[in-house]
Amino acid sequence: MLWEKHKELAIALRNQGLADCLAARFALRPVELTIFGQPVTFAHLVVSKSQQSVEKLTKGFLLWQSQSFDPTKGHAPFTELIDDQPQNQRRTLARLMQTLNLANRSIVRELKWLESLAPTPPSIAADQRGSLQSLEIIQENTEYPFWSASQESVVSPAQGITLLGHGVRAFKALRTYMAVLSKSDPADYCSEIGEFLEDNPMSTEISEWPP
Amino acid sequence: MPSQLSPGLEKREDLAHLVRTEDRVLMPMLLERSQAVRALWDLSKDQKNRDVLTLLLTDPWGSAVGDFAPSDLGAEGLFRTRVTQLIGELIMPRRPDEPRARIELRDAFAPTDQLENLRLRLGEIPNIAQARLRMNNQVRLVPQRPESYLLTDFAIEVNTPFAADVSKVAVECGFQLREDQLLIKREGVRSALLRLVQKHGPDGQPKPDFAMCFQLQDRETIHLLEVSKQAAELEDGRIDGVGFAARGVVPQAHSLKIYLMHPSDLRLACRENGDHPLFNDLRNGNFDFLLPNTGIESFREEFPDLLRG
Repeated sequence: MLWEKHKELAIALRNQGLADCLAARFALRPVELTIFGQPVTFAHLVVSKSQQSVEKLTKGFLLWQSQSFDPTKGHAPFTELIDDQPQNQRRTLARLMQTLNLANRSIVRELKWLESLAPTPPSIAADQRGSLQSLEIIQENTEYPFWSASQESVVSPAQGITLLGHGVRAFKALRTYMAVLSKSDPADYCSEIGEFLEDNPMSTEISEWPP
Repeated sequence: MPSQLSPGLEKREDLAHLVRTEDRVLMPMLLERSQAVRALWDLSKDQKNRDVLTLLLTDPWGSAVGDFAPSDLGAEGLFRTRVTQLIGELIMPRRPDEPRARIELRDAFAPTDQLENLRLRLGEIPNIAQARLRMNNQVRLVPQRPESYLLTDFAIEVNTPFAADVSKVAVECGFQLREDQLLIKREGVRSALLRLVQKHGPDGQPKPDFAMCFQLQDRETIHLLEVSKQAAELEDGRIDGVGFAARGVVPQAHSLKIYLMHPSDLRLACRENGDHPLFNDLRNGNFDFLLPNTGIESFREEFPDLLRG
């Protein structure tokens, strides 16, 4: 498949990723909300929007360089290497990861951790699909209830995902990635990310935002 | 605008007609490259007293010159090839046996007549055509100062024997030489980069076969090229860097931009993306070689085309 006006589409994807970043930062704030007496935070929102921002910035980056890249497939490019994409996109991403690791090995590790929190269906062996499944197979994620080993129970993201434990770390990973992209090539795609960062200081302090 | 003919060539009506006829090929090729490029034809004789047509191409940033036999002008394919080579030379001078010098000037507001004066004075330097002079700058018009251009990243590249004369002219024309030290020359920078690239490989990253810095005039960003057979091979002819904050990795630098490339991609990029600053820097010696310790010769053996120019 080839995308018409792929660079315009890439810029639109990038800008949606930046909007997700703003949403993540907006949610990195103290709230006093409860659901049936249980206190909730926006931590799952910070994490999911940070992950979606990384996903869109990366997909835009790949689409800018090749109109045969299909941004509709997959949600975790750094983890899945977008297996069903043409080989040149897989290589482009592979080299991006290699280069990221040359100067800062924690970036790719943190991005993969962030992607691990995207909701994914539990993996069930084909011969087990008709059987009763243990709740323990539901992985931690930002959208659905998941199994918490520490609490030995199913929890909702609002309970199990915390601002300090997950939110700040997720937003830091996004911010670091954006800072790297903003200094990278192709400049026509990346440099405006730098302007965005200058216009929107991205503190990871849990506070009202904008200040 | 048609090409110009020297008075001597104008007198030879047969050759003048031949040259004017070739304008239908030459001018579209030049205009595709730049609206500012000019073509001047001259006529001379070689040692065997045969006619030699010399084509001089100039634009505000450089020049290129080539000799043609009259029969070359009738053969369109050959003529196109030669003109293409000259345009390439106009973009980046390429004579490996001529060491180059880069004279950097401070950013400045300069009125048109100051720039024109600089060009005139440079043109008066004896044998300046042999200097293979090339001017690099970025020109911006600032609304608050409409009478001047803002010149940034201003540098003049010449063959080394002309460096002193060119520097003198630039200063006499009111420009100031840039004297702040290159990043790579500052204390601790090169050793930090060496530590960084030597760590790759042992730590599981693509082991660099070659590592060098280019774009040395950049006082904020270190541009680090790492060529590794273990890098993912893209076959796309592109040279893309990934930028990092340099804090904690390279002292005194603001950013570190790493260009990781497979050797095949570097060769392909040279063919398809020859205007990239990397190749201009390689041809003009504007780089600092880090790895391997055996020095630039091993790089020259691996990539003879890149340094040959």
